[in-house]
Amino acid sequence: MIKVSGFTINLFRVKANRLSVEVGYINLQDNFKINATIHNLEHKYKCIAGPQYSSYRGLEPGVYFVCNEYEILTSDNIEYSFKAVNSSSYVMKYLVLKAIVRKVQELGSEGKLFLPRNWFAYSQITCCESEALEYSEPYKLFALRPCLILRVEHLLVRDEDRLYLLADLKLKRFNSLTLSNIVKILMEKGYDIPRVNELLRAHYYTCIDKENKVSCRVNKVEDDKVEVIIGNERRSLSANDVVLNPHPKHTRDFIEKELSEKISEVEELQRDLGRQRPKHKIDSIKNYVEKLLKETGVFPIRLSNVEYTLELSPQIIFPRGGKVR
Amino acid sequence: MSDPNLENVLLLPGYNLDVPRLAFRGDAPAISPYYGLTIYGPYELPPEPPKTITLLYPNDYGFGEVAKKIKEALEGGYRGYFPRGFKDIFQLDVDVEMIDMNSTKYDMLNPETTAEAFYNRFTEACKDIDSCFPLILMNKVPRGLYESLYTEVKYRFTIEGISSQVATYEVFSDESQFKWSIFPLVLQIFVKMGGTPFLLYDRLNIPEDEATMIIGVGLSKVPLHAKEKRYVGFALAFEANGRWRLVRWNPQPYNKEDLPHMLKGLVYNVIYDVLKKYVVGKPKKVHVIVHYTGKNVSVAEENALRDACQKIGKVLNTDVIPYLVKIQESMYRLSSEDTPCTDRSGQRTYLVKVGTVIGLKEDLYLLQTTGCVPVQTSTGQIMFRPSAHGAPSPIIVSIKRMQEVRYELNDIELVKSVLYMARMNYASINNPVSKIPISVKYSKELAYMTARLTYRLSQGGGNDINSLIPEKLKQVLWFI
Repeated sequence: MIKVSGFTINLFRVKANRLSVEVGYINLQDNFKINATIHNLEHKYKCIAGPQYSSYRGLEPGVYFVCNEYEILTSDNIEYSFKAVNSSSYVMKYLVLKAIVRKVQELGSEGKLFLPRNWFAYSQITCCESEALEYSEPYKLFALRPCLILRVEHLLVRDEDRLYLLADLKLKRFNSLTLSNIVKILMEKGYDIPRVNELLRAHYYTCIDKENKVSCRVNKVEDDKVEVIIGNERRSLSANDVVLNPHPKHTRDFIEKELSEKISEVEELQRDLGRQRPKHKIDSIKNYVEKLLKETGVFPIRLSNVEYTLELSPQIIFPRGGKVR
Repeated sequence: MSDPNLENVLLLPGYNLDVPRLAFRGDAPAISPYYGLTIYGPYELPPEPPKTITLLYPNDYGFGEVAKKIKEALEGGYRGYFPRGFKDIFQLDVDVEMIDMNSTKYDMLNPETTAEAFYNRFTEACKDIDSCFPLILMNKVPRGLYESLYTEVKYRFTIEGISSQVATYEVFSDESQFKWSIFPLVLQIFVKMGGTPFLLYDRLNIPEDEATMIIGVGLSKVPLHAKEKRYVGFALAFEANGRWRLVRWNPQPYNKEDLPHMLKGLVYNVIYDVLKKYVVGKPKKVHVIVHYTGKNVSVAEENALRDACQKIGKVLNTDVIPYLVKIQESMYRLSSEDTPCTDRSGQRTYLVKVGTVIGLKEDLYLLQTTGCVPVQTSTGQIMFRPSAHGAPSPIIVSIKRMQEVRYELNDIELVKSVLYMARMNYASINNPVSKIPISVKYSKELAYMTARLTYRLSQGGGNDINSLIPEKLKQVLWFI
């Protein structure tokens, strides 16, 4: 038997059970108006919407969307029509992605998935296993979680539109190094406030100031408040809103020596799993896709009259001599 | 519907690009920088090399021991990892002098005063600063916009027209990292002295009477005043053989809506400068390949680049053809059963060969720049070995075709330009291909420096960012 091998790739087919899908459509040409309309449909009317900025394979420019209720759009005088489009067409990659986002968000609020900060940005979803793979000891200041990073891609294969889930796996280390946690540990160890302040001063911090993350320095701790310096300005913030950056070597020494938190085991596991070679990496991705997206019920996904299922076999690319443009 | 047997199969265009050879002293070709430098020597020596490498370090926390070990390695080499030392490999008569700095003046959280202290100590120790090259030993710190000791130290020396090199205590105090880092450190010092360790031996497939220029364009968003965001663009110009020519900024920060205008001016000036200063004779045609990363280029910005090329074509009475190539990191993973690379234990790695190209979509290619790479052993034998841990991702190369431009280079030639620029890796000896090409690799570092320069400009430091970089630095790759 002749063995012909190609390249295995971390793309998983998303298959529609019907060739065409019924969607709402608003004809627009201007990119700015397209984006504003999507924002309006999603935030005000809780629809799922995707942009088509120029004509492509029979799709006219505009906004394509799916809503639970269309009557309210009519009563608000929004002009739209219904269209039957190819269920795997380019614009459907946005709608399928946003349908995944909705399900992942639901599972996140139920505690079945762990969603980090900024888990959905730039057409990319990050969702993690709810159970940590490992915690650091003794204070559980660090947790190691397997996280999937997901995108939906559209490819043309032999002139057929297809949708794929691009999935990657990262072992992410999350920390709970807020100053409230750190000060509590130091006080339990019997340090007085002047010594605590001395120990905390020589590090880098991130402050959450009016929901923005900014780098800051710590001046002194007072009860549950911290006096910080942001730029040249002194501010008083809650100790929960000031987070230690653990990366510099002297800070790592502080965590291991003064806080007595053992982080090397978590790091070693993270390093070992991060060194998986491509075949094993893609196998691991496949296993977590099954665990986090199929077993939890993210897939199958229903959009309008179509059900989308996820195939668990990664794709294999067989290269052929290409025509060069 | 598709054939069920082909459900999991993608038949896509694929290409194998050869990893190009590098040229060393006497134009001798070699695959590996290690082999080329140790056997032939560097391609070109600095025109005015310094006489001393001034190794600055705080006189505390074990810095002295690490500094001593670096000095000894520079002078005498470090086993097989850096054989024979700086003078022998780089053929320069340079001494190494250790200069300590009072550790009370070293404070990582006060970058400005610490950078000032390093600079003052340097000028005290070195009476003729043009004859000394500063090598600064300090702690590893996050490279942020304003808070970073690294950026502040680089800025302090740069603004005085002095190229500098930083070595971190965390890397050089660890034996397992020291041995792999010492040769790359010395390589960067040589480049910053104005030397050219190697260029590309193989070239893009372009007729000899036509010129090619590769321009890396970067954009830095800089906060000038409270909540006000402005943009500064910068461009690096390389010749087709990988030789770096210049870096240029647009003179002043711009508002977002002025970006096309700013890009047009920037690209025009860069092409004009390179053609005027460095291209001998009048080329029949000029191919300008623009590499960029990050932000998407809008149609208005594309048109601005096209217009800049047309304008310069008219001024110089030659055909100038622009090409736009976007380079992004990806989250794709590719696995190959046919890999020639094994791990040290003899296990199959499944790593894809560097130079493999997959045409994922029209105009969009995956290019493997890390993975299984050819290297040359100390005896000159060529073998494949892994250039990365784990499962490295290919980069995405997308070719943007502009309207009304008559193209002559095909997509693969443009993808090749990315691989070729990834070969110009002056930051590593052991990894012969960088993941990201040199044309866009330093965008982040330059963005930090740009923010710092812009701040100085806003404090009344002049009216053009370009004028803040002293003339004598403009001939060296000071920002790597």
